[in-house]
Formats: sequence, structure tokens, C-alpha cells
Amino acid sequence: MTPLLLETRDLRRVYDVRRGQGAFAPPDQLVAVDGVSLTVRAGETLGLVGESGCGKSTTAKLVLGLIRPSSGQVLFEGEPLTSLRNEIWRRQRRRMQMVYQDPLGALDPRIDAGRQVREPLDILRQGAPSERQDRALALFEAVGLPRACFDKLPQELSGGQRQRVVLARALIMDPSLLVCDEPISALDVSIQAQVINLLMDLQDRLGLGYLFISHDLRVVRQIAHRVAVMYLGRIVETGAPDDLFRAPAHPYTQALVSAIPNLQARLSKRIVLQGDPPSPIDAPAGCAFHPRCPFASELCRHERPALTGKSNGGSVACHHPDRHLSALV
Amino acid sequence: MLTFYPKNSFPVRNASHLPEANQLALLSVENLSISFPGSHGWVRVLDNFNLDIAPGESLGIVGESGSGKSVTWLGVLGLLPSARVEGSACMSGTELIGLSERKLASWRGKRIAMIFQDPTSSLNPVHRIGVQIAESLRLHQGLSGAAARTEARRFLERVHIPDAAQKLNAYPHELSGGMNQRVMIALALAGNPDLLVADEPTTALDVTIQAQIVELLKEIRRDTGMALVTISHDLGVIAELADRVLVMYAGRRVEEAPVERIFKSAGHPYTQGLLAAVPQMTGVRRRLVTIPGQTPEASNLPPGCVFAPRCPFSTPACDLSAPSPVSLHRDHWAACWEAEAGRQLFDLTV
Repeated sequence: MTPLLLETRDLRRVYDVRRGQGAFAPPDQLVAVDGVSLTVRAGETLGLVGESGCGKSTTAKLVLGLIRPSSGQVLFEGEPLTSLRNEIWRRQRRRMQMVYQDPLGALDPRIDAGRQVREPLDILRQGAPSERQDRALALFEAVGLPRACFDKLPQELSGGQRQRVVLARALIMDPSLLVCDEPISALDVSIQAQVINLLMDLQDRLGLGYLFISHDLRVVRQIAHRVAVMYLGRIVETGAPDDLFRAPAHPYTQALVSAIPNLQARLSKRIVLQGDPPSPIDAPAGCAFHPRCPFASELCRHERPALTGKSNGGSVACHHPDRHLSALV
Repeated sequence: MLTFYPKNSFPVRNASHLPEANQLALLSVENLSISFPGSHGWVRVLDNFNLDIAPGESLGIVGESGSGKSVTWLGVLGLLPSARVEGSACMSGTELIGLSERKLASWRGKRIAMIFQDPTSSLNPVHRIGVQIAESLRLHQGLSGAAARTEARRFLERVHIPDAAQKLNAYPHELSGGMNQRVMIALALAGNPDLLVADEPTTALDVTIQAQIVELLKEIRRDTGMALVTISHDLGVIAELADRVLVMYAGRRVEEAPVERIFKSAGHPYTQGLLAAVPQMTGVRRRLVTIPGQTPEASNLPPGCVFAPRCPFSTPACDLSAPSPVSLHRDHWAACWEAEAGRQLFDLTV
């Protein structure tokens, strides 16, 4: 097995919020991420799946040290991610980079693409200026951008090209881990396929580890080696993509898989979850999914299920993992 | 908002040379072209578009950004004040292109209703949901006061909003995206239209909420018998909602077929490429097929077939003239010189 790049142990992040109006409203706690433990190995992609507000992006920021966990720990390349903004942190941060959803928002509109890719080297004064330029040009080639794009402003590039520029810039510090937060959601279908193939090629070539966050299960199945499903700040199921999507154990994963629109679902009945995900400010007691779960029992309303191993190597947090929603329709 | 009105920018009616509109169609669009003012003259974003929609039919329109799939409908409904709209869109014997604003207002919502991608920005943020639905009912059905309120509540129940009576008093920001999209659908239903145009109705929503809205649209279509046009870039949503599918690329129609045929025996290389670019949930994982390059800009379209520069199968003939539709099967055609029935252009085995 390849070495462990990233390990998080029981990560938890709580925000203090005021729900009422006025300065004297009682404070509330929003638990964005609650007890998330995950690992990413070199050359491996962990797909993190869930709906908006489930804590995917907060997890990404915790992993990168952009925000500090309320409790729990992040280990990167075997050593704890320091919360001090010191030399160790700067060294660690160079080895982990982020790719965001909206490439136009992630790029400076007034600096040409090539200089943005080179800029990290300029800031750190790594190598001679000509070497930096050569390295930026080499990365342009690696992500499949024509030389002509080097001197263009982001607005002069297409959506797919911009996302390639963002990728080139993320790669210039020679990272071992890329955290990709919905990296293709803003792109057109035919361009999405180009970027997915590119991400997979780069991984093969450079042995990168990816934490790949997406709401699109098809894309996750294509790119991920392992998948973790999040609901309201907690991981509810993990497993290999084919096991997880073919035989999901958690009712929420079952509903997610069933919700994917396709030609077959035209005629067959689908499992439609009722209601919206609850607010993380007043998360339900017991299993957070129980208000939307048709199998919820008394136990589910009071006791939160722990993530326990399945026979196929995955794990699930459910009191009734043997029940299947499709039996109901 | 300031809108730039260039000279001669008002919708032009130019239907004199057209043949009689299809009498069976609910809506008949013929030779519709839409141009926007650009820095070097008019930029044509929709080119000679033709379409017939039968009463009660469900049509899906697929395309990527800039394909003209949304702008068509904004043009038909007279919602593009700065654009030049030419051609004809005929509904129940009335020509909509060039119709006065006052007359068009009675068509919008009442005969053709439209829902958009982002429901929260489509609703008025400073009015309660109930007031907005009641306004629609007053306009379209002449209801007012308690009658309108009761009817508004009935519409909210119709789109399965729980606690409808209380939700009437809610503001859009107090509801989730899925709930707001239900409110938008209720608003659209309030006019009892013959045709509902749903422009990317589920794109801004989460996966499980998307499934709820898709099921709701299916149900409403089944119950009311209204015609539905679903515009989406998501082939899955189209697969579920549409009976007939139209594929658009760079402001042109490239293929049309019954939904099963589009997914099983698409004839146009663009449609085939689009299908092959989507990862699948079952079967062997293969490398995704990609369509090289990107969509051309409307101001700088290639001569001949607009897809030719990205098409792996283009021949010199493709650069010379735009292909006309080739019939591949009953109700199935593709605008491609190379299209033949049963021919798979992209190799999906790799």
C-alpha cells in the first residue's frame, strides 16, 4: 500500500451563531463537522459526497488548516498539522493545495494566466526567474493548455481552460495532496469529461492523493477509489464506489443513488426522500437522518448509530442497515 | 436597470413568406432567429429555429451553455428587449413575435408559463409567498381577497408544500431552494397554462430535492395534461421528463428523436459525444470520451457545420456547407453529413 498522506481523527468544528435578532439573543451552536475520521493515501482518491450544508466544504478547510478544528486532529504526511502559522505550517501547506468550484472566482482577473501559475514560485523566490518561467510553461503543457494561453487574462479563456490554469497553479508547488471542492460543477458536460480525464492522468503520473468533494455520484464513481457519504456533519457510510453504489446500506445513500435521474427511472418508482435536510443548528437527537427515514425506530430517535464495519470493507452508521428502501415502493 | 436600446432593436415581424402554421400544433415556431447587439454588429445566437409542440406533449431540449436553448423561449415570450427577434412563433392562431407588450402580458403565465433555474431569485424577496400567488390568481383568474387566499393555499397543497396555510405567510428567504421551486411551480400553475417551460428546473437543487421536483413535474403533467418543455444540460433529467428530445448546439438544432432513441441510437456525433462524456453508475468504468475543443462563440462561428472543428469525423464537405437534417428513423433526424442510421461514430469500447 502507498503511504498515508492524510489522516483526520474525530474532527469536529462548531460555530457559535445567534439565531434570534438583537444583541441579547441567546447564542446557539452550529455543529458543521462532527467526528469525521478519514484517510487519503498517495495516488488515491477519496470521494466525499453529500448535499449542501452537510459539512463537505468545512471538512476541506479543516484538512487544509484554513480553519481550526474545535476538537480532533489532522495528520499530514505523518505529522500533525500545526495550528501555528510557522515554518512547519508553511512547508505543509505547500504540499497540499485546493481546487475550487468556480475557476473565475479563484483567479485574479487582472493578471495573465501564466503569471498566476508562476506567482507561487516568485513569492517564495524558488529558482532563477527563467527556471520559474520554464516550470510554469511545463505545467501549462502538463494540464493540456496551449502556449498561446500563457499571456491571456482569465476572462479571455474558456471555463475549461480556466480550470486547467487553476490546476496548473495548484501543481506548481509540487504538492502531494489536492483538495478538490466541486472542481467540475461549473463546467459544461463535454468540458467536465476533459477535466475528469485530466485529473485522473495527473494522478497516475504524479502519484497525487485527492480529496474529491462532489454532489455528483456519477463523477465520484468515475474518479474515486473510496467514497465517504456525509449527512449533517457526520460520515454515514464509506466503501468502494461499486460496492457503495450497487448495494448501499444506509437509507440516505440508498435515496441518493435512487435520486439520480436516468432513463430507467422514467418507468420504475423511485425512493423520494420527503422534506429537506434539517438545519445543523438544531440537528435531531439520535440519528440525524431519522426524521426523513422510513425505518426510524425508537432506538434511532434516541441513540446515535456509530460507524461500524461491513463485511466488504466499508462501514455504515445505521441501526437498521439490513433494511432497504426499495422494499417500500 | 438601464437597458441599451440600439437602433432598430425592436422585435421585427417577418413572417409573410412563411407557410401556414401547423394547425395541429399548440405552438409552432418557424425560422426564429435571435440576434444581440455586439461590438461589431449583430451577433446571431439562434439561427432559423423551427419547432412544433403538440398539446400535452413533453419535449426536452438539451444543450450546453450558449446553445440557445433558453434564449429561444425568452425570445418567444418577448422578454429580450434589446435583441432582434425575427421569424414566427404562432400559438392558437396568434403570432407572438412582434405582439404588443400589453397583449403579450396576457399570454405570459396564462398560456405559456416559465420557471427558472434559481427559484429564490425568481420570487420577490419582500412579499410573502401567499401574496405572490394571490397576485398571480388575481391576474389570471380574477380572484381576490379570501377567495384568492384559499385558492393560493390549495395551489401550495397541490405542489405538496407541508403546512400550506402557514407557508402562505412565509417570505422566500425563509424557505429552502426546493420549497421555493415548488412555489414557482405553484405560481406557474395558477395561470392554468397550456404550456409550461421549465428552464433548468433542478440545476440549483440538491440531489434528493432534484428527485422530488422531477417527480412533482411528472405528476403535474400527468394530472393536468399541459405541454411541458424541459430545458436542461442534464441528460438524466431530460431522460425522465421528456418524450421527445431536441439537441441544440451553437444556436442550431442538431438532432431530434424520441427519448429512447436519443439514448440508444443517437445519430449526430455531438449527441453521441455528449452521451459518452457522462460517467455511468453501472457497468465497467471506462475512460470518458471527450469532445475536443470548446463551443464556438456566436460572433465567430465556423463556416459550414458549426460542430465540424470539434468533430473527429468531419470531412472537407463539412467545412463548406451546413448540413441539412437527415432522416434516420421515423421521427428521428440529425443534421450531419456523416449521419447514417445505426452508425456509432464515437468508439465507446475504449
